[in-house]
Amino acid sequence: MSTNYATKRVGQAVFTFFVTVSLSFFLYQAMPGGPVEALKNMILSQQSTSAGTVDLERINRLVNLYTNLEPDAPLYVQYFQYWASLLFEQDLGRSIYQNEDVTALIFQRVPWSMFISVYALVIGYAGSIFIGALMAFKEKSRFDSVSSVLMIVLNSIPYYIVGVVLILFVAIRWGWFPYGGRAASSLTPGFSPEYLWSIAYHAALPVFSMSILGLGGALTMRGNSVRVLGEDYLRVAELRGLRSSRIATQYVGRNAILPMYTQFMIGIAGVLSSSVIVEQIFSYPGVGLLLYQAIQVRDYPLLMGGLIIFTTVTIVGILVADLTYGFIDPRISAGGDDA
Amino acid sequence: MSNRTTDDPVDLEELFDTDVDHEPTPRRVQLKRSFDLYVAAPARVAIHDWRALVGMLIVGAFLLVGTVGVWLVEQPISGDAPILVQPFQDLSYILGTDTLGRPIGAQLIHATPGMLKMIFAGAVVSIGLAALVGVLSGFMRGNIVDTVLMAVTDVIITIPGLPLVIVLIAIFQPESPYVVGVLLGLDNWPGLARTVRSQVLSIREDSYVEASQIMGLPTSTILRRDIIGQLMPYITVNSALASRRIIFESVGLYFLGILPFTSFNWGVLMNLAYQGGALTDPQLLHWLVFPMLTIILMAFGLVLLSQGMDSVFNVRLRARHATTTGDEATGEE
Amino acid sequence: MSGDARRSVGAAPDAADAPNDRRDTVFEVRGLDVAFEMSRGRSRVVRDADIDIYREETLGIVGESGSGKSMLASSLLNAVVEPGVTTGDVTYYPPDGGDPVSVLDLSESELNRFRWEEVAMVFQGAMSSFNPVTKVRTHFRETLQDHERNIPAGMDRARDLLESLYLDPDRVLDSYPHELSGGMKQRALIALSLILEPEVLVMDEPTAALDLLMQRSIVSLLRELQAEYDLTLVFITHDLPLLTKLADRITVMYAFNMIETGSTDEILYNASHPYTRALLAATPDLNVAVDEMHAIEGSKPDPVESIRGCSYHPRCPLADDDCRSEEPSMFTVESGHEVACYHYEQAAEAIPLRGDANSGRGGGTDE
Repeated sequence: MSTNYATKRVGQAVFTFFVTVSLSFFLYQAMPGGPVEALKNMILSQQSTSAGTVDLERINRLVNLYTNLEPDAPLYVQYFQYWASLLFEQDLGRSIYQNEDVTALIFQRVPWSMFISVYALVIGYAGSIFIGALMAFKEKSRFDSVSSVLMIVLNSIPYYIVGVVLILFVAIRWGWFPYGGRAASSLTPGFSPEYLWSIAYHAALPVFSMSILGLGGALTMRGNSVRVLGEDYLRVAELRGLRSSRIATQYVGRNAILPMYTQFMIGIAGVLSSSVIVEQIFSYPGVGLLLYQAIQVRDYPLLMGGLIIFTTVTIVGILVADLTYGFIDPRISAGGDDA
Repeated sequence: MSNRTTDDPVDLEELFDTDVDHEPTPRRVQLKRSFDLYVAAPARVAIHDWRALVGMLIVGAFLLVGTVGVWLVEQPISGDAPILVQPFQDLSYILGTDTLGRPIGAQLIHATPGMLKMIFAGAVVSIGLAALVGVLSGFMRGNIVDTVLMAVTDVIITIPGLPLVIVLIAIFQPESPYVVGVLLGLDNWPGLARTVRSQVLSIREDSYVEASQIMGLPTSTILRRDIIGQLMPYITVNSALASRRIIFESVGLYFLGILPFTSFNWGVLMNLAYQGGALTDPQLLHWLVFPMLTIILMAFGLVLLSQGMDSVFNVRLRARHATTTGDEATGEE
Repeated sequence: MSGDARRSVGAAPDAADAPNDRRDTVFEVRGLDVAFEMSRGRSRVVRDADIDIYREETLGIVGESGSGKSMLASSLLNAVVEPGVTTGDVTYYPPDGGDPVSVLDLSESELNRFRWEEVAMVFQGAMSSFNPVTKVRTHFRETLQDHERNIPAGMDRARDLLESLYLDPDRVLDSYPHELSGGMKQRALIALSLILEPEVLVMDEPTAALDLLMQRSIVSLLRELQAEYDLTLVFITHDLPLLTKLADRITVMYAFNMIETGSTDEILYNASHPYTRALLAATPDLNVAVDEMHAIEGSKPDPVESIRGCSYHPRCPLADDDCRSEEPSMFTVESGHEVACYHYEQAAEAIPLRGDANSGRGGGTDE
């Protein structure tokens, strides 16, 4: 039963990957005039030597180099070749602007984006679980109503505005935290304490402003806890004379946090998405900033590559979360073997 | 009925439950009933919840500004006014002016219709898709339609929305606020579709739907009366949330200059102020701050509205299970 | 209320009640009130209830839903849900002459000990009484642990209990709640309620969600358990026919008041309150639950607005000026059979049971 569930989840992940890559292929085709027309001018403007001469064969070769598409071939051949180079050569094409492999460009940046995204998500969720649980236990108290309004206000502020305000006050006016870059440029990269500290120091503001995204969970947590507090099994647990610490953790805590796990998984996609905006505001050199620069110069191969990588990272994250979900919620693998 | 509204703001309840006669009712009565059910009663209910009330006032104010306001305030032109008037100095430009002498307030007002169009298009697309997919796959549970729809939903949930939207924007360069709204709405529906589906499934298991089936009511009637009726809360609450998300994303994308530059837009205003150095030059700060406050206010109204509606509808759901003792806490029933 | 003048069921040491007094009392309830403060006023859902519960008997409490019977049951464990306020006296007498316990005055930690060790309760939410994310075994284990019992010995007892309820102990203990059927869950919950060997088991509509067949088999299981473990059972239901097969004594509640108490036979053959008689008359063959009968005219009472006089007078065919002005106190019909009605002597005549007697009673009473 349990393996069945795992197979299904893995199959779903593979299918999603397949759809994403196909989507990027068709988006190329959907570009006005098709990929050849759209890329021709762009490529020409980059290749100063061949300016003026319109040699179709050369253009086609370049299009193939950059996008893995073979403009002359029939569509299905193009499609297979696109896949082949992706699967067998891990080749996502070549950046027109930076003239480097998209795969290499992106993979240099992925760890940094993951770093700030995951921390932001974890901090945001930890905070919201704590606040939400507290609000539920003090339901209808002054603390509850004040926090509710505060959460609604926080929910109304976009994370990038939080970022801008943080830069304005914390970084520029008060100078408490740096912004721009991922570490002080005076330090040599390595595992020295100074360098690691500098990384954390530079990541603080982006992480904080992104964690606002997770804080919306506080009201969900509150709602879940209030619901669990009204459940029959909670009442029975009290009637059974169980210790209140056990009731708080095993009964309320577990049952209220469980539904948020799914939210957390989907949150991975949301936080990664937001990195495009956050990294640009903080000039934090992750994948998001790379993509932002790619948009500015219409570097399509890099954009497509970014979409595929972003999706792949999300797919893997959700898959891992899905597969581990069965361990904490027995209802999910209906077989009931708790191995 | 009338005295119930004071303590129990939900006489929708009555309408739901007494509506089980399957004699054809005259059109006029049906209309009146629908009006009571979907307009009058929620409105009456909403004023009992301060959040819903404040939320409606804020959103209503924006609607007013976006329709009437643009007629009352002249479209700002460069050189209209002195450059960089500070806020609260001159009554004609309360919010100050920018580096081209355009009043900030007027710019904010003239950006509102575009924003509303975007929100409208985005909300219609995301809520419409979500409701369609959710109801359809809930009703076709287990068969191929359900499987396919849910597979598609899962795929779209996984694809990070913003990068996809950005690629789409880079390729299509949308100018019309409607198109921008639609593009932003496209990645917004799967979560709600899942909620709707599970609601449909649980409603289907409710005994009274089963009873209607046994009574031989056609599926379309059940769908219309029970399912749509019970889904209204989710749809209302999520429309507000979807709208908030579309504002956030579109303003963010305009702010970063990813969406093509348009004349009046809150995000574009922020972009110009930011590029102009509003962070370091206190003289420019108001140029950045007022668009931000406007966005926050609008989002605040929408979040309040959704929260308020949510609790209002929750009261109704609880009332369904309440007993003659008038207090769900008594645990009878 | 005319508190002093009233005689409570089995309470006052009156000559008439002498036989009852010799019986061993396990619970003594006096002047019990349960109230909720609501925006439109004070909602009194149990009003001045007096009752004694005897050791090893089965007491049935019957009433429509919303009559206050669940609240009465919860107050035996001082477990009325927030923000309900319970006042009055609930005294528990431990076996073998231990010191009486005033349940409503227990501290939090004393209450935690009292619950489940002395009195356990199974209530209507049996289907969702288990923590959905832990196994049934964990429920037994944590209960033993938090009450500082020997776990291996306790788990052995759990197996015995499950087995005597016709369940496969290993299978049930290793299952998650969602893997068990409704009937299995209900029986597992009964086993869980007996794990600490309580004196009293309070059951609040324990069979409401089960099908008829399962209800009847649970009832017969309960009788076996009661004999085996010397249990006192308090069984709350709206299902009068079910009760007649199980209870030694029956108390009828109407509109938050106890209106008639007596042995099961007395209630069946000599019901003296017009409401009880109406209930019986409306039960065609004693196989249909109270809620499914619709024969009693008039609307249900409101817990906030107090009715002057007898709470049943708006629906009662015998109501006169006395009934409308002052609430009747308890009258003794027979020893151990008491009724709150001025006209209890006329009730039998005024409200005849169906076909008087033969067909109506036959089906239900000879089990």
